[in-house]
Amino acid sequence: MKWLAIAFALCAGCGQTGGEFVDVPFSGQGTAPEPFVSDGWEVLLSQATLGFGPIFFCTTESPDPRRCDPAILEFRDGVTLDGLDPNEQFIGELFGTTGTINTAFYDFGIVWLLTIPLAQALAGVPGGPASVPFEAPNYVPGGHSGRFFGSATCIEGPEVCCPEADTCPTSYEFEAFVDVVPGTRGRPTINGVEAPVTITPEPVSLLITFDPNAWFQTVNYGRVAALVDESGLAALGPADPDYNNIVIAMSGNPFPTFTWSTTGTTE
Amino acid sequence: MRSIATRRTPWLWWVGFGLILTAPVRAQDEPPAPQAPRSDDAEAVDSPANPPANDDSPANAPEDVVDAPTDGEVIDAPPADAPPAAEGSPADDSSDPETLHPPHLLTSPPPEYPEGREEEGVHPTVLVRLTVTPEGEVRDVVVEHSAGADFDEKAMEAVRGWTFEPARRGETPVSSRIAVAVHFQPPDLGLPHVGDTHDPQDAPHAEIIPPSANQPLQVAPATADENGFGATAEVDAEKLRAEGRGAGDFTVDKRILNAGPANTANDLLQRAPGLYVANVEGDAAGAFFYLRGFNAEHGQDIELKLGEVPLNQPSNIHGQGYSYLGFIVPEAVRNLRVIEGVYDPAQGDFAVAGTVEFDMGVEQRGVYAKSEIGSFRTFRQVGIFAPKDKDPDTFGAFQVRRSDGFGENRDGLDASGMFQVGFGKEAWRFRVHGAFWGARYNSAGVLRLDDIESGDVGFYDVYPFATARAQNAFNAGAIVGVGGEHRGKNDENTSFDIYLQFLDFRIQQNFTGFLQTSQVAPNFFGRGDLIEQRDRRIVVGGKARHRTARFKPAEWAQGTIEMGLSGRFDFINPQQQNLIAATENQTWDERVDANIFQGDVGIYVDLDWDFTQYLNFKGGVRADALFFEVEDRLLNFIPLFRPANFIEGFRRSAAGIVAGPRLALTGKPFEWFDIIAAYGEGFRSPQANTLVDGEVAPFAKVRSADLGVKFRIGPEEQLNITLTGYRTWLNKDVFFEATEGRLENIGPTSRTGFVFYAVTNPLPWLVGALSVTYVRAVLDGPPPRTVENPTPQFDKGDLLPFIPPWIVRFDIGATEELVDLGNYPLIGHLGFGFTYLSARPLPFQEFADPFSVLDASARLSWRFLEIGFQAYNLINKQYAGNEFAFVSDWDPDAVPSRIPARHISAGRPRTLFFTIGIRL
Repeated sequence: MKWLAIAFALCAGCGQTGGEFVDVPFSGQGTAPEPFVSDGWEVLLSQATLGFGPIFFCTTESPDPRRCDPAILEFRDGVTLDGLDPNEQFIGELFGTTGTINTAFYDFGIVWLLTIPLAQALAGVPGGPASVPFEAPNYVPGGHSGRFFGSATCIEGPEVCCPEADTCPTSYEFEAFVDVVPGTRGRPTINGVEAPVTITPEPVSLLITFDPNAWFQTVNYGRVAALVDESGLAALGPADPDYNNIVIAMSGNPFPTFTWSTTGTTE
Repeated sequence: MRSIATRRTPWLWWVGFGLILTAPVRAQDEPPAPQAPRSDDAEAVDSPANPPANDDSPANAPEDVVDAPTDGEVIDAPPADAPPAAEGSPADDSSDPETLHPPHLLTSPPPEYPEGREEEGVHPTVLVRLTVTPEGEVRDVVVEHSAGADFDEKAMEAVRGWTFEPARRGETPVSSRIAVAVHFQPPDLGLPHVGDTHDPQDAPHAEIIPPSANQPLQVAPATADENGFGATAEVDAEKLRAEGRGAGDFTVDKRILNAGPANTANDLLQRAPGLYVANVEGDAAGAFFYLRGFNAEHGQDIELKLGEVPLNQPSNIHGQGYSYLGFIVPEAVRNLRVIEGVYDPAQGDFAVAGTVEFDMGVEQRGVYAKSEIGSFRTFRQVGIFAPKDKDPDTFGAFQVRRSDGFGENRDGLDASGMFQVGFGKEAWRFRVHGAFWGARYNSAGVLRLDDIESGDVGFYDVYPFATARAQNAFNAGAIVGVGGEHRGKNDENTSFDIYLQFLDFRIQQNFTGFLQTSQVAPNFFGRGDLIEQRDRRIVVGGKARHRTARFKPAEWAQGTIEMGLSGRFDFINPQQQNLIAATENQTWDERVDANIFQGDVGIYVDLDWDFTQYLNFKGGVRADALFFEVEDRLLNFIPLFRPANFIEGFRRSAAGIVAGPRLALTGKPFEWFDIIAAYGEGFRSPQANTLVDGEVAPFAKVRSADLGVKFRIGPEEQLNITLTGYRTWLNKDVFFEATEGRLENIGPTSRTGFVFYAVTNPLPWLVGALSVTYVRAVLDGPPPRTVENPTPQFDKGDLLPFIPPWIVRFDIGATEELVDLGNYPLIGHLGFGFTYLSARPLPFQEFADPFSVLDASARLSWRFLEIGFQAYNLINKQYAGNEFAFVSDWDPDAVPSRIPARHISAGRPRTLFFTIGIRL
């Protein structure tokens, strides 16, 4: 009977069943600090610690995460990246199947599960794991999605740097502990970002590049200057419009770039 | 043969037994052996024209007609048509308690010649079939070959007055059904005999009571069933319609059904070649069926019938063609007919992979009670009553069962009762039948394989969440029906059946854990994906058909034409209240709430023609018109954020028609060998809830082709072998979608494979059957594009997941007298059933582990008492009864995966039963 079973098993294995499971290594990459000028301020980020994950890659072309069922690849943990390090930082392996990827759905380290009333910062991200009671009136961001430090120097005079202020510091340092919290329970924060590739059994890897410098170009530094305390530090909080500008920028201005490489089909 | 003169009357007559004791090796799935060409009218079967009164010479006595005795004189000659008793065969072994002895005629008053017909000088023969009760009385007389109403009436009148020594099984009188030829000889008025153109000596005696190719006067000796309560008398195997619809037309008879243990109808189905049944949702829910490469789910691709009553439920919310068999009392199943492929015009909706028909009847008459007590605190009580003076069609049967179930959350209770009453008057026979049942069982549902492997949950456990432990099924129903049949002369027959069904099915399942959100109230979420589906329906339907008398336009061609029709109307109320929050069972989302009317009107024409004795053609055309009317109260849903400018609901209707041929050509170059080619087209109706208004109902159409051979080996056909290769194409296949708990379109598919089936009865006490089925089931095109999957990853030629390429089934049973105890034999029975499934392909290049299951039974019977032992999965193999691949999340504290994962439903572990029965 044993040889019969072996023969049957061999014959049974002749054929494909539509794709196969794969592991895809992926890394993160930051952008080197680079001064930029914004409304008379020269700004330089000195630290950008990012919380990232989970991320799902899907076949659907729709930004509706309910259409991402099933996914092609996924990484369900949270990780910490140096957003200002241009070197590849290995994160882990995406797990999934072969198939066509069109879109990505991801979070910056904070998820809001269907099964838990509060959003959660994942273990592995700055300050995680932790609950994120972001709707409470005295909410203090934990910086689970990003912890940013930098400096701003007025280079074109107060009338340009602080046009609506009575006083204007010539320079200051700032910090922003940012939580990018999903807007809808059970759904990722960022939905439907284009990341096209066809995953085959051939080896492929992914590099995700973040550009915190670009995110901070959306900040109104003259307005932030009003937050500078006695020590010369401006701390952005959820009540500040520029805190939300950072959150919005992280959510898609710009999106990170997804680079599939090696022997994979990069599109 | 003895020929004994009766009284001196102007009428001479002969009586013949058409009793053919086929040897036990003859499987009923085999077509009858080729018959000599026969005449097509009653006159042609006349016996010698003018045999002299009191002439007992063999020359004037047809070889296969037993002359009647003088009143009161016993004829103890064997039936003329019975094969000579072989050495060691049951016929000459009166000491064998299983040996069947035919009935003997005791008294036989002659028939009267009809008044006013004397001068015609005709001497017709009327062939009647009757039941000889254990008391030797005559019941249920039916005319099989008519010679006209007046002759028929006189023949029936005569035989009702005859008495018999009853048939015996061993020393026990049993009921039997035999064919008797009543020959009328006109008074000698010195007139020429009409139609008497032959020398009596030239009369082809073999044609006097010829079993036609389609209607063998075949009686199958019964064997004791697994419980010692089976056929001990003959089975009337005569069919109204011809079998042999392709090489894959099998009848699994009582001997095979009783070989190993079986205490559910699903256990019996495992005996059918290539049919695997996974009963993993509990005994209150339908099983999953796999046949010839079709994942027939709960019945979408396999037509299931209880006699002439269809059991598939079109547009069932839980799955198209859903069927529940738990109410069938397996001890009352006489045989299973399995048509693999679509080659019979009578096959209807869902006959995609084939058709399985349960034939109900109790051969061993009397009262029988059996208790089964076994593993997991399981108790089953069976009761059957089969009045001894009635034929095997008449019985009542019930079963009650309760169990804690193997593993967690599988406890439940079910009860069912079935009855059938057969009766007849002259050429008409009628049957009234009914079935009633109720069942409720908890269910463990499915488990992620990675959770089992990590030890998070046990193989036979259930997830520790309220919405997992709330899984269960409820089933209740009633079926009543009436059928009738009329047998005219020369194979002409007519039949009808009408039925009424009330069916209620409700199931709560959680396949996906914690993934779903409410569509009605977006702020309802995370409560567990417990789906409640309910399908309540009333079904009214019927069938009617008529087959013409055999027509013989040429010496080399003869046959019949049949026309039939069927109608079925389902009034359905499907509901899907997804997401019920256990334990209070509040509804927190609604998905389906509809009223559906669905009708199916089918017609067919069917030919059965012999072209010489070497070639037979069966087939015709079938067409079905389907009608749908849907009132869906929840579609056109208005989200909370949108101002309502209409009222929710979606009413629509649709209709469609589908037609196709079903053909089978059988070559019979030798008596022991047939070669059969078949082609047919069948269909599966669409789910009504998926149709849009005015849509031409998008049937799933299957094309099927078979080429096979059948061998009958041995002097008594002790070995019957079938080997057939097949290929099928299905234009719209479906797969299970776990999120909604229903089936979704996957595109066109095809299957190529073969079936080997051998049945053997090498010794009178031994029977065995082996089937080996191979299939390669592939996708013929990519699935339809969807928003979720605009680029389906399946390619043409990909294997269909979940289909086991190899299915092997082996059954063997031995029943023999062991010793005499107090002048009564102690009869022993030992049986085994073995199932092997090769590795099933799963999505993403994975394969499920192959597995095999061995069942066994043993029993001792003495007088009215029997005790037994049953073992299912004797070697306690841990196996997955069914496998799935889909996305689920059973860890509510972690980020849910969106990658499909393997899930399993556990198969039954070793389960032991002790049985005790009493038969009176």
